[in-house]
Amino acid sequence: MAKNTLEIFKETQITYKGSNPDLKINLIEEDENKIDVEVSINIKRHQFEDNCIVSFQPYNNRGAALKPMIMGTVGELNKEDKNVFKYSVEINKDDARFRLLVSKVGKFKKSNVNRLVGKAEIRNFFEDETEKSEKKYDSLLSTREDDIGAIFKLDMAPQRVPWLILKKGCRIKYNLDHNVDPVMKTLIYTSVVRDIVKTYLIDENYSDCIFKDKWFQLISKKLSLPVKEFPENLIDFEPTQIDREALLWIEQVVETMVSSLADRNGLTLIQKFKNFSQKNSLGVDEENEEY
Amino acid sequence: MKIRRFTDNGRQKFVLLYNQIKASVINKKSIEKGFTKNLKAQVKNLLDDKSLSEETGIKEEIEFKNFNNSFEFGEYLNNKLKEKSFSSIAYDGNLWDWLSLYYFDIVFHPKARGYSEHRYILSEDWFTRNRHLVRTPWYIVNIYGKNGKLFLAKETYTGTDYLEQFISHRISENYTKFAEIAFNLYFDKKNNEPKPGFSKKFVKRNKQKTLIKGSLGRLVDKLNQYNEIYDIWEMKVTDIIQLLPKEFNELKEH
Repeated sequence: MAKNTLEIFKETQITYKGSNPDLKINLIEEDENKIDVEVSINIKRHQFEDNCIVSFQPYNNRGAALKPMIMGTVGELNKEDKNVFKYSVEINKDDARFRLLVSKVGKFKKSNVNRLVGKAEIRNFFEDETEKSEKKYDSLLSTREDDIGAIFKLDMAPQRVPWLILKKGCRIKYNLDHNVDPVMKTLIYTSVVRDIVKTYLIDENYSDCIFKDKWFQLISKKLSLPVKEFPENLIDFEPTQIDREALLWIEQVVETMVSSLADRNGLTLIQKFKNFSQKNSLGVDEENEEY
Repeated sequence: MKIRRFTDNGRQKFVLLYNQIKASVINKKSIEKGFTKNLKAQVKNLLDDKSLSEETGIKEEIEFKNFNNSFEFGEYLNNKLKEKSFSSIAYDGNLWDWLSLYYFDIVFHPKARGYSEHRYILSEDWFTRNRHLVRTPWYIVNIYGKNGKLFLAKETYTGTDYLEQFISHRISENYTKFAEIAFNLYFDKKNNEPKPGFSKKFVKRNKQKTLIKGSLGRLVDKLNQYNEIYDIWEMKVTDIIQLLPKEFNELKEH
């Protein structure tokens, strides 16, 4: 019996930072809802075939992607040492993200397909440098500031990392990022982790979410419990009711993930909470303390 | 009437009034009984009190009328708001909630099956933001054009499952041709209505979670897969539909 053979390959990464990157995006002008960018590209070194198509797509982190703009074929772009394009994009600077794709036209069965051969995903282009330098690992909970009514809120969506949104202008993000106030951190993270775990357990919209998998893998590691033994079967979905055992399990997860979270000195967050509260009640000058 | 937007104080008053309406509906167990004459009068007073809203500068005027479905409503609003850029109004809760109040009688209807505040008060949360019964029809028509018919085929006071399932996946925003593919597969052009039975990825049958073949959720799976290996933006919708596996065959139009 005939079988289809699939050729699996990884597309070439187009660089956009470091020395001499393939792609450079400069912000020329900005106003509240629009940015003008200058994009320069030179991808000669990758030796893509001349007929490959290069497209550039801005997208809004909080909304829909814009239609990709064709920069030309690789052959056309390779005629010059540097190609510069100017685009006016109707996206707020902080929400702007970009994608550059190089694709090769071909066939799969009866369909014409554009196989990806090169790619760049620019997700944090306009993030300030201090934030970038602190991000040394892939976080499973992103924090950002916004003008919200409450002090904090959780914003979740399938296929993206959960966001902890913190009220702008209150220094809460700074305090969390720099471990200034373990009481605040404990309270916020306890609430947020509980909600994340509950949502992943009961909301079917997350059934195929890769971040649910990542969270569950981490919880599995921390609790030494296989994911298949997580209490999804203790939840009745019509209407949604969580069994008492499942609730106890969620509390156990919260305790392990937040309260027992230890720093490099082995000090847990709950211990820091206690220390902080005691010192605070004794009138110790907290500004001179390190956490 | 000129299109207006709430002042912050006006919006707060609307939120408080809606909470009262919701409490009354829960108490009386129906919109018909709970939305009392007194509450109706308060809705009218809030709309008439010009100190609680401000002008938007939009030249087009709107009128109160009924629409056959949310799609027609979305087309109407999109046309009336076209002078404004997407990003200048998309997250303006004061505008959308004022429009909610203006069109309250067609979005808060005795036949409505839900009364969540997210339907009338724009939520900041990504997940519930799209339940707004005024902003979402505009958003869908603005972004997806005529393909939005699939998601807005019902009355102005109803949110549909196709919409809920479509909008809850990030790819609906990152790859807007998704709506065109979905419209091609799931909209019955002959009868001018969505094909039933394909909006949910899973249903419960005999207490078992059962996968619906060819469903919208399965289309999401396939598009996410293609997005990893193809530049799906550059591909024709017909080519992508042709790529879909056999489980979609009965939905493809030959």
